[in-house]
Amino acid sequence: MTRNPAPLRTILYVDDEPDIREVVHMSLCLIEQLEVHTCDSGAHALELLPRLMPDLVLLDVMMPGMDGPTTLQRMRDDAALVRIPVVFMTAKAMPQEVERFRALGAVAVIAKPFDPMRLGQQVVQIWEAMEHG
Amino acid sequence: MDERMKLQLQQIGTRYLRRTLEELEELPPLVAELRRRSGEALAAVAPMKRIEGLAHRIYGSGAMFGFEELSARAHDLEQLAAAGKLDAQCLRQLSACADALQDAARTAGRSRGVV
Repeated sequence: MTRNPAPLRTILYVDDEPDIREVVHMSLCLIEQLEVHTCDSGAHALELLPRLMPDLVLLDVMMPGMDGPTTLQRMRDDAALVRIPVVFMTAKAMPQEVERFRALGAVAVIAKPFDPMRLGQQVVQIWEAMEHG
Repeated sequence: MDERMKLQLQQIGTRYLRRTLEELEELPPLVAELRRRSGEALAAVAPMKRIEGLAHRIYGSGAMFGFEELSARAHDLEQLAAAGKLDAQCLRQLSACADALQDAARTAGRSRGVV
């Protein structure tokens, strides 16, 4: 296991709220050379993922229809998507919930509300600290 | 952070506020429905869940646009709704929290000239 040496190149952010998607898009675009994609539902994400194959997926937890944890589960059940790391974004970030999200396979949890000025940096830190191998 | 981004955030925040103010119009009828149905635990589940969901969304987003008070009041309401208690005292508290949330939204709205 080594720390992640490759720079973060592509990311998909999934959230049903258009205003938040726009803010996250803007925040993430501050990361140099990062290609940022967004979509509005877990189902849409599952359609896009095989084509995009992003380095990282940021998933909102509470979404109508397919929520974040279900979307992650579906990714884990799909051989092509199983290795894409997922970070949850949630306004329910109490320690026991964070523990539950990690148990589901999330590499990290970002608490909402987040600071739009710091989000990009936070995501890069998570990416760089991720172990892979 | 550059000025352009600040301006953009402010614009998205204003649009967000408009939408939130509209959504919050749902709150008084939902609270009224809860009061009416406080004796029927099952029938109260749907309006309580709706209030919790609405408050949860605002808690998670308000402060992102600099509306700290809006997020804080939404958090109070979310916690009360999540507890789901239907006795008279809890419903009074919930109603007061719902009012406080709407007040916070209007105050934020006035600061952006959308109220």
